[in-house]
Amino acid sequence: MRTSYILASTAAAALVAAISPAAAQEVHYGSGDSVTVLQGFAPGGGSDTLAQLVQPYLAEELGGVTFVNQYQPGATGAIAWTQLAKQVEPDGETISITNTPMLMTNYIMNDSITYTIDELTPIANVVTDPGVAVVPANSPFQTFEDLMAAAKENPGTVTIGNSGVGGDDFFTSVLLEQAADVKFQKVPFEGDGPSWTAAMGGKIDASFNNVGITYPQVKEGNLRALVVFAEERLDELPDVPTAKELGYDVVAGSSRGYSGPAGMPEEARQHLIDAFTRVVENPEFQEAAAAQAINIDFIPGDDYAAFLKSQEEEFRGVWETIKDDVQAD
Amino acid sequence: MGRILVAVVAIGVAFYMYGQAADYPRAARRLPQLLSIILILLATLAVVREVVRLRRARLADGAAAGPLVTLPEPGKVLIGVAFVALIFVYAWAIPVAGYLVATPLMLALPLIALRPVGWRGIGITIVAVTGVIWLIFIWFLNLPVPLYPGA
Amino acid sequence: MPESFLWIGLANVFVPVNLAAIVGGTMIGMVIGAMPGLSATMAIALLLPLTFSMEPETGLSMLASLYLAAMYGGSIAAILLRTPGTPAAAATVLDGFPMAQRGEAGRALGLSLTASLIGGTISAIALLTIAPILGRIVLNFGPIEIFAVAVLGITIIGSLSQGSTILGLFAGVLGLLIGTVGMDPTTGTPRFTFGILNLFSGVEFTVALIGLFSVPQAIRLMLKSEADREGRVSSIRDRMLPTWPQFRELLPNSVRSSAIGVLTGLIPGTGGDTASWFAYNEAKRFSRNKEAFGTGHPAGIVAPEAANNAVVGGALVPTIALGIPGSSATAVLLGGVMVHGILPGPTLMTEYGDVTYTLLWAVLFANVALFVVGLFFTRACVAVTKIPNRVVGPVIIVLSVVGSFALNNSMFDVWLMLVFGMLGFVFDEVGIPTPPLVIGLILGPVLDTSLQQSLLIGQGNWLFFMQSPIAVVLLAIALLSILQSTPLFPAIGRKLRKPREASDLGDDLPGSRE
Repeated sequence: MRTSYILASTAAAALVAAISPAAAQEVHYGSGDSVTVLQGFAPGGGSDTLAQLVQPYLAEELGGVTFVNQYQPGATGAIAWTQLAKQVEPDGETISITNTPMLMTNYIMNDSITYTIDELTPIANVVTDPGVAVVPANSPFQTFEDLMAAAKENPGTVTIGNSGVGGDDFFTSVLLEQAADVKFQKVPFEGDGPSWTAAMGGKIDASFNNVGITYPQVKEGNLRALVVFAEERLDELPDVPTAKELGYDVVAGSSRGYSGPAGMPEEARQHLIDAFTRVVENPEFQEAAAAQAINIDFIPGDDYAAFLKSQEEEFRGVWETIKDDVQAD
Repeated sequence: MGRILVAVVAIGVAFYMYGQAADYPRAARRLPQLLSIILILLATLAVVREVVRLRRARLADGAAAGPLVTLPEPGKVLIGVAFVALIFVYAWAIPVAGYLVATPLMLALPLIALRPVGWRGIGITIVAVTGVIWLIFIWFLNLPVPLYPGA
Repeated sequence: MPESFLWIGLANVFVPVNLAAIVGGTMIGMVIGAMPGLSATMAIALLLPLTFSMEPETGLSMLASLYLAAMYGGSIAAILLRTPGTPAAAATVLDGFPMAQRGEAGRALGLSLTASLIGGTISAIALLTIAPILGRIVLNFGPIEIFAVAVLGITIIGSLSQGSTILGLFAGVLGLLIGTVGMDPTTGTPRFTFGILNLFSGVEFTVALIGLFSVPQAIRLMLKSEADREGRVSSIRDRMLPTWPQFRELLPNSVRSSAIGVLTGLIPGTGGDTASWFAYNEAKRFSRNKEAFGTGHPAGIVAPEAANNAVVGGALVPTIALGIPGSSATAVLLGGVMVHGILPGPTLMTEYGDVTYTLLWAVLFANVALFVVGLFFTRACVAVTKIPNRVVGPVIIVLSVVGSFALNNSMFDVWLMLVFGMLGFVFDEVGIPTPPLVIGLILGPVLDTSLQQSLLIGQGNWLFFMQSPIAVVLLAIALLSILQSTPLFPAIGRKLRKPREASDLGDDLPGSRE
């Protein structure tokens, strides 16, 4: 599924590049303009990393626009996204970094969170950090099959860490449970870091995490990656099989992109998409991203909207089936 | 007397929270319910101790025990109430009137009413405080505080 | 290999631009730390973009010195205005403010500065020498062990409640209960949020802290007529630095508190806010002059200040040895490392050893810079005590309002801060201690999360906690502290100690009661 997006996006990018010179002349954003980027998470997190990486290049592409990061952490991003959907003037001067799946799971799981993706204008997805299952170096589980066999034998005893209820890793473990008809003991942590730390210390059997986050420890041999939840094997982990290869149809990861409020001027949106397209094609940018182990997954415009929509559907379905179990008495 | 009041209010809050938590899943209500019960117990203990203490104090003083609550001077109460009200008005005024209007007023009103320093002192205080905080929080840190009315 | 990095790093620190970065970072950190609502974490986050254009070692040296200086800066407002500039300085209020009120603001700040220097230096040395070994310890702290740490932390409440233990426990449990507000970690249920999104992540305890300490203080200042301000005026000539004998008496307390700071910094999820209370509690426990605490006792300033600066080195140990941030501030620092294309993790010690060791030396030298800069800066700050009460009151309010807004860019936090301010005022008026409430707010979420995680890992078996030796030891210490605060235990202790007390006045400093 992801591959098709990437294919489609490159095609779209090529098309945009072909016709853009004319559009790009008509500058909507320009020097002296200031664009506020609402960030739903505290400084230093994954969203901030993306902002710090992308925005300098993007500012240049937009002819010297100034990006102002406005951090409004709280409620796993819902405060910033509610503001984006409900309060922000749709003039293109305020956009936000939108994280999948939290952007959707927030309101799927909580009735008090009222925004939906229909109140947003998806601009482009920029990165996707594929999911990975890691175990400590001294774990008895040598392969993913070992782990699954143990989970099958003693349902509910294999402890699997995730980054928090509603995060991508939580849903990955649920999708896998459903695909393989097993039951894990899911242990939520407050973010990816504490989750893999607990796995490395042998406090839990495995951590479902993200490749970009755990890669340094895997490379150093402190953690062992058993499986990646990607479409294809990854360049940085060539020996690690994908879940699909092993017969589990689970592809998951944590994606981050940019969205604006609904009703944002089409021209501004297109201008941003064009600029993003040029940024991700810039070899200098690609090098900088690779140095930080950031996996670029560019999905522009309507494809991003479709991606969010399909994800929303998938997670709504998953949540409906597990809701009662998670909130069991 | 004040302690008893606080403890009683706390018991009420704890009961309310206990009841609210009853609707939560087991993992979510475990700690809040446990803590509510402990809070109710502690508050009850505090009330009992306070009552005993007051009783003892009154017995020791004989019949001529003073009033249960000693009221502070009326002047101070007025200053206190006015100041607290001003604090809340200030918080309300920032998004409405903007930092650059609300803050000088917040500083000016008590200074002019109470005159702890001369007029020059008042002027310097207002300009210096508004300016330094603007410099650090808004100019340097880019805080999105509304600055003017309607902004 | 690491030896050579050690010397490369040392040489790097002495490059003029790096020295300038250290001094600059120190100055900015001190000012930001002194502002309520602006924490060390935020200071680092905000200056991060500034360091992008610098060499990695220059930028990191600047951020590390900023972190360290903000820890000291927090104590300035705590001592002078009873408004802790950072959460880590909350414990400093207990003795720092009374000492300043006595007219010894300079001395209080001097003690804080000296303690910060000792704490920072010890932690920097620990970082330089045993970081790789200490780093491994972190992995032993899983949910069960962190739960035990939280329980141990709660036992502090008993010893913090001056006067009545019941009222102290009452405030502490209330804090813990308020700490459970927000989304439940295992089921995602929003608890006590009334549908308000700002409460989903819980009550930010920095907001509560600003309200609890500073608003009542501002109101009190307004109520005092100018006649009773004689206590607040400090003579500027008031000796800031402790004399050599005084310093020697402070040393055991400082070293102990620094060790507590380093260890607390190591443990993921606990930082300067927790460490300073732990150190305060231990200083009180070891002191033979327990009653003096809370009245402006030097040991009560030294302990939290040494500890919160020692946290910096402690928190950097797992950050550098393993790539696991030990505190929120180091998490942001890691972000700064990544921007330069350096992946956090074990390679920091090998591949990027030169940058890392420059950072480690910078931490050490930042302490010296802090001390020197601090001496000048603090002298200027003492002048605050000469300003009339009724001028200071409104200023505290403006600072608190803007500061609590700054935390999350949210007016909601301002209102929440004022609600806590009213609560703090009522508590102060009726004589219920507020520090236990703060501890409860800090530890409530830690306790809740780690308990739920432990029960999940242990399949719901409460005896699971007994399987971890670390947890057992910590819980046993917690039990001992609880027993100590019951009437039985001190009675025995007093009997044993009595014969010595007559000849030995304990670790109280000479002249602290003058």
